[in-house]
Amino acid sequence: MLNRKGQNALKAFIEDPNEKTEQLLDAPQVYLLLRFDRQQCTKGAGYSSYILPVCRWLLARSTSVLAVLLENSPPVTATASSLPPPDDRDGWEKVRLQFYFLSYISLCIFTTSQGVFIAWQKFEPDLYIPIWQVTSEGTAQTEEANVPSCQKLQASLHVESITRHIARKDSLVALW
Amino acid sequence: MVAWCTHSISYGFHCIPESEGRNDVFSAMVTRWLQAPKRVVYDFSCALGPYCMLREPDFFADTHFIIDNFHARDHTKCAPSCFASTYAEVDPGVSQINTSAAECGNNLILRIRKSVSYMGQRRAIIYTKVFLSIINRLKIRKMGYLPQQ
Repeated sequence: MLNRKGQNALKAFIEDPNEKTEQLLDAPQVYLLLRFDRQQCTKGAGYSSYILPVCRWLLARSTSVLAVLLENSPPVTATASSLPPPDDRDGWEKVRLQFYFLSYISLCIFTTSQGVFIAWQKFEPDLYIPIWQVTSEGTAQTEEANVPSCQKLQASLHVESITRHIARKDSLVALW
Repeated sequence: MVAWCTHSISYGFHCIPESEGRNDVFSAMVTRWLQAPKRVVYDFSCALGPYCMLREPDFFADTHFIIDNFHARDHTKCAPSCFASTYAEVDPGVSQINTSAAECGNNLILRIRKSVSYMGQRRAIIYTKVFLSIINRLKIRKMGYLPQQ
């Protein structure tokens, strides 16, 4: 499967096939195909006429597959209240990601004197981007444009859960 | 299950109660890595790659999933594009990698597997952590990064 780096390398090659093919190190399958074509079919004089359309098709197909995957993922299926209790019959707690998804893991909940903040932990140490603030008066969403839609959706599920608990005056510490 | 670097230094471990599956490797990477690794060398990478891409495509979009040389010969139905030998033919950086580093490391884990299977969670985590720390330290000393005593 061509990953994103491989796709970029293949795109650069298609735009300028006369460049050296070393840029295709991130797509070794394509590199070997082109090397074979150059050595066996054209004996070192450029590439065959049919190899560039093949590369274009590979790029279009891999790009569309990755785009579809990015658009439809990750599925949000779990909230804190829907998770099953830990199975500690034999003294071990199961933590496999059967129910958790990255959007769930990378959300952090802070309880402060100003209310409860739901923040997204970007993949950098100590960088939290607040998404929601929940107080006894109501909820407020921040205007942060860079937060992915899956994180916003997952955060909204948390907000519903927190609001429900605030209404019932449950302990938030027990919830988290 | 232990995650190893290519010098057989363990990054961390994950206890598996049943048979190892793709979810175990996926879970370990997603929960413990801030960024996905550049290369993942695994004996079942041909299935792990699509699995990870289906569940977290953005996280794993820049990762190469490679089958190690030792297990590649058993993958008779898989395309060579997954094999470490294909990557090594193109990228000299991959050719210098010991793709069987995990096999060497897993051999050491056999020494404690029996003991750990009789332990509770807390004791097993401490025991395995200490064992792997000692193994790591011995290997780092052997490579010359720590002074010999």
